Amino acid sequence: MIQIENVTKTYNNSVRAVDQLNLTVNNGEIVGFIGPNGAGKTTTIKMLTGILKPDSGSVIIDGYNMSTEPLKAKQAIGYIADSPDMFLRLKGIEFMNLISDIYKVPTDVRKERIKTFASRFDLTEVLDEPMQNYSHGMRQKMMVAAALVHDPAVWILDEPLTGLDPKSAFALKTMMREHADAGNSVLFSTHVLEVAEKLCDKVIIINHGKTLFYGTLDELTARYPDMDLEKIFLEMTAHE
Amino acid sequence: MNSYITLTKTFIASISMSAPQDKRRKIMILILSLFAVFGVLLPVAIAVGVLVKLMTETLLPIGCQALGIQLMFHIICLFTVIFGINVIFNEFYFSNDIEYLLPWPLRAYQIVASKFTAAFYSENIMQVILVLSCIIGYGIGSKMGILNWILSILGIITLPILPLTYCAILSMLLMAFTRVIRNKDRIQKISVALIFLMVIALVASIGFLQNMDIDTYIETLASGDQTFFKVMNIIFPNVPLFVKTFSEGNIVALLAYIVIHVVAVGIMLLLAEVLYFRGVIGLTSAGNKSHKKSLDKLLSQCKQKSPAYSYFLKEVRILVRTPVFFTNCIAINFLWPIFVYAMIKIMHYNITLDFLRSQYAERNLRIQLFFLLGIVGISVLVAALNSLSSNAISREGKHFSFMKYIPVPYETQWNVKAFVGILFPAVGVLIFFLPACIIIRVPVVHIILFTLLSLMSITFVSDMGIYIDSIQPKLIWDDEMSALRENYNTFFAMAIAIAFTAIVCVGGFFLFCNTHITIGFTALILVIILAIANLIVLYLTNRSGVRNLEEQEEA
Repeated sequence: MIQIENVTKTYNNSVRAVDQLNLTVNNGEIVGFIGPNGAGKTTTIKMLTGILKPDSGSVIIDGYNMSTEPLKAKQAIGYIADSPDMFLRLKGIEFMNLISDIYKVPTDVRKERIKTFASRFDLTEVLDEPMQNYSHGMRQKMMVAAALVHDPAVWILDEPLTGLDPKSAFALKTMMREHADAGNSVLFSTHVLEVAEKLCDKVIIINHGKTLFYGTLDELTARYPDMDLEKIFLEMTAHE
Repeated sequence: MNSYITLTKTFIASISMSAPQDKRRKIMILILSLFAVFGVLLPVAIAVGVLVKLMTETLLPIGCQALGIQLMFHIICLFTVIFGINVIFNEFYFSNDIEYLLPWPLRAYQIVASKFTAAFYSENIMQVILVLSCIIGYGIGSKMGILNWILSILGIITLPILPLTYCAILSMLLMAFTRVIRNKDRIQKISVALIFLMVIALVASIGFLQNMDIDTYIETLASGDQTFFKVMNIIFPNVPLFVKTFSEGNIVALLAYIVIHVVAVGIMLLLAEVLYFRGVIGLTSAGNKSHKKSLDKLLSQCKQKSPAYSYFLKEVRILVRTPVFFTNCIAINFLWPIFVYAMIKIMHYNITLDFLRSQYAERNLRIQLFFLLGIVGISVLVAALNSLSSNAISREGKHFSFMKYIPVPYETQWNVKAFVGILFPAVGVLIFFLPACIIIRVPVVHIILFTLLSLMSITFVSDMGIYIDSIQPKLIWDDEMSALRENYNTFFAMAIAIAFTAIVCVGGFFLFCNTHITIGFTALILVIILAIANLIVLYLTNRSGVRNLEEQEEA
């Protein structure tokens, strides 16, 4: 479960990136995080993962407060950053082992998971190569696999489908659904509204760091009858 | 022209480090800057200026007063080539922005001109200070007139242009003819190996200076033998022309100086049009794909390790596998014997292992002091020169967020980075020093003491380096070389290390020579000083080091 209460973040004492944001992602839910560029999505995600410290408000992950119990909160998260170009000098298998060690995944369990991810994302042939040899999509798949290798209760994914081929995108979407159905929480940011429409139980739309809407898609379309999601999004963000 | 200006502005902007936001860090950076300027830069500049003044005054009676400053300028130009070639290679061929520049409608000369200007800008600060101090020293020594002072302004900034142009031309020629090796890493390794060989050859050949003390040097000049100058004047014709310009107020020399630079830059830009794209297009960073293991084999080798050990392996693998980090942070730890050899040659010491063995056996206290202070000085300088710790956080670059979102305490990550910063210089120093001690038959107790002093010195520099880097790490960089060269923290750490070495070693020498303290007591004082230095850094780290990491908001 993810809980954000009255979270505010200001950069350089002048730019308010996130303003009094509230959000709860219950167990069993997939929530899509939608907003135009610069709306505050990545800032919010970074506060959720402990990368940034909120100026005020609280972030609670799986029952652990990020400011008072950061290690326990971080242990519960599987995070995919917006850029997959990380530690490119390491081989894929070395990166998987690094993440597994950091999240204390036992040897037998990690072997099984690495095997599963390698098969699901077609990584088997490249695991013994430095990641600088990988294509962008391949790196993204590696990041997804590494982020989930410790089977975290909470998935926080920043544009996770960017660069994935259709097979891998489908595999990830299926995994997200399975994970939520198993009683866990998934929050992911996306610009692809169709994905949000098909996959999410709820969406949160933000702009200028403020929540414009948070609820189910049915509630959203009920508020704007005769409009598809794209038009609703444009309508909402245009008036901000 | 507009493209050139815009590109140059962009490149220069990417060189600069972002200023800290909060007051505490601003004060820390200010203190470090003031220390670096007044504690190291100014004393070095003053020393150089005084040296040139003395040389000028000594050579004045034989009418060769400008030869001293000319010698200094030649040395500056030579070192600009040695240090500049790596920078130019990286700037021209290995920086990450190249793949964005190539598709743009830019001519090769525009890219090269802008990148050259940016490299010149980043390399020029130290040279400006040195050239300026040389001129001041010469001006005072020769009682230069006002017109000469005005004329000297020209060269203060422009003197390194010609050496850097050589670097640019050399790099373009080499890259244009390495079409077989299209792999960036391999080319980088080869080019860095060549530079190392150049440095080693230069330092080793410095033995010729053995006969060049100031008296014999003046005699040589007075006898009309200026072979060294003749050769150097051909390689760097800008130096004699510049010296002639301000020392004699010679306008023809001034015009020739300008023409030489216009021609050199013109040749560089012309070559850029012919060679640059040929060298840069098709470069790949893909690594070796051979000898891949099967998944089953890879999985059979998987074994759970502690987070700290795994983090340590990650640090080492990245350092060893990234050519720039490998050469500048790892390999450099093993080169100090060459520099010690050069220093011994320059100081006219005729030291052999047999001599040291016999002197140590005879309990020559000066030799024991030489070892005692030498191990501290070498350990501190090697640990500072490798930038391992003063770049430990900056090295993360855009992956800095990784340090923040993983469930590993900051203290653990800090300690692993500090350990890496201790491990490599410790191995680099002791791998030569300990066998030398054994050959010289240094008593075991002394060897233990030297090892302790070395480790204490390296630990101090390593912890101090990380602490400095934590105040305001340089997290935005285009290539690994920029992470090292354009990071002020490495400079600050080096400044403190140099000052520390100077105070401890020179102070220790004078204390021993001018008082009646024993060698044992001197060793005890060194242990106490290093313990205090370590405790101070430890206190600072506990007080605000980890907080710096917590509060650092990416780049």
